[in-house]
Amino acid sequence: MRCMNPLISDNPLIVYLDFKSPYAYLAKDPTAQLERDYQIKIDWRPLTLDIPSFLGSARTDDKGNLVEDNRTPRQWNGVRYAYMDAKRYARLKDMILYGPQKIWDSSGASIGMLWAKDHGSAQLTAYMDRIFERFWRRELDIEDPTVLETVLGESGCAVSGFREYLVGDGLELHDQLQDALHPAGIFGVPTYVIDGERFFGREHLPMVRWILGGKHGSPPDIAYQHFPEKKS
Amino acid sequence: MIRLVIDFKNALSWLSLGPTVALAEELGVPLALLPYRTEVSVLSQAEEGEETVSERHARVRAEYYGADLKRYAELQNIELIADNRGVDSTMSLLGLLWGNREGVGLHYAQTVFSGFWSGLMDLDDAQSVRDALVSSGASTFDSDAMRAELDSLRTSLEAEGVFNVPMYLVEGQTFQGREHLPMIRWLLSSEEEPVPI
Repeated sequence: MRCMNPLISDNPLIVYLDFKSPYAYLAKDPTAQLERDYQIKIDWRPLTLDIPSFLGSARTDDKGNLVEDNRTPRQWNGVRYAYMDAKRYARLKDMILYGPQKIWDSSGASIGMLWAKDHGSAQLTAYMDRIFERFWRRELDIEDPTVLETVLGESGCAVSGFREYLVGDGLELHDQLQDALHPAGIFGVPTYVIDGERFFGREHLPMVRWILGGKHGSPPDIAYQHFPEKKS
Repeated sequence: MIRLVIDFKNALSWLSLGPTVALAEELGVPLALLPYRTEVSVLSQAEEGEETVSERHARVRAEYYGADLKRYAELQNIELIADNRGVDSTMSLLGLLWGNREGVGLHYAQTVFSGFWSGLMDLDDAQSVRDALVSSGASTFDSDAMRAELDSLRTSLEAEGVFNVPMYLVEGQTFQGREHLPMIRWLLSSEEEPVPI
């Protein structure tokens, strides 16, 4: 089984994502655009967030009533703002983003990402697109192995052996990577690693593009800025 | 109108000021600087090997943000020498209210940010604040006259959704951080393409 160094890849850019992060979902397409604009391959990797460890935990019922609350007022401010913020940007792109009713365990979907990656970049892209879109529409139980298997199949991946991978080699590879992230200074999504430098958040895409483009001109500031597709 | 909520002991507020002034000038819209006192987070003192997952996450995040601040501050030639832990910025924020009243708020804010973050100014010293106001064109400074206003402003800002700095209040929406300037430009430019991401 291969091991991954969190900061090193054969590809020029590593991108860490978690399916349960709305900010990762918003970052996916403008990040994928980098592959077309700069003719590169991105090394997409999973970072399975342990949300209660930094944002507390809470759960709502079907009507949105709070039935469990382990968050401080400061954490609630941050969480409420984050979802409001993510939703307004999602609306601009006609993306549907419903607030989750609980903190999901996305480790299975992360392992599915590793499985899809082994099948090829087209399969990985199809898998990420499907999981993100359906999960945020509340149409997908990402904790259900059968559901993950179905999405992998729809994405062009062989599914024979996935169940074993989910609790065997895939789990081991996933956990090994997660354990190595904090020591490497990586804690959230989306995180971009380029030339060994870490950038947390899609607001750094202007800087990532500046580096990929050869560092011409002055370095840009952070911004949620749109870039038109480069013509090949 | 762009309303930018700041605290002088917050480095991100300092980094947001220049790009915000540039955008307001470009769009020809007024800019109001509003004071809001924040607390500086204090990390756990646990040894690296004995941390909980939460403590480790907080430390790694704080280390990252420290390095991130530094690299983007360098782009603006901003010095970040000062230690903001334990600093009470209330006096300097009262000064901003006074400066706004006298029409010199922006000049005062630039003076205070630069002075404090270069390690040359105490934010809680009334004389330093008075000097910054006078050098910015204000006549004098009466901090007591502004205390009630600072408290009521805090209440009204929180009612609008402010809980941190820098935050922007534009077109009835709140935005945390200068990364939203493309969205603010879009909102104030009749929502013409391109749409921010």
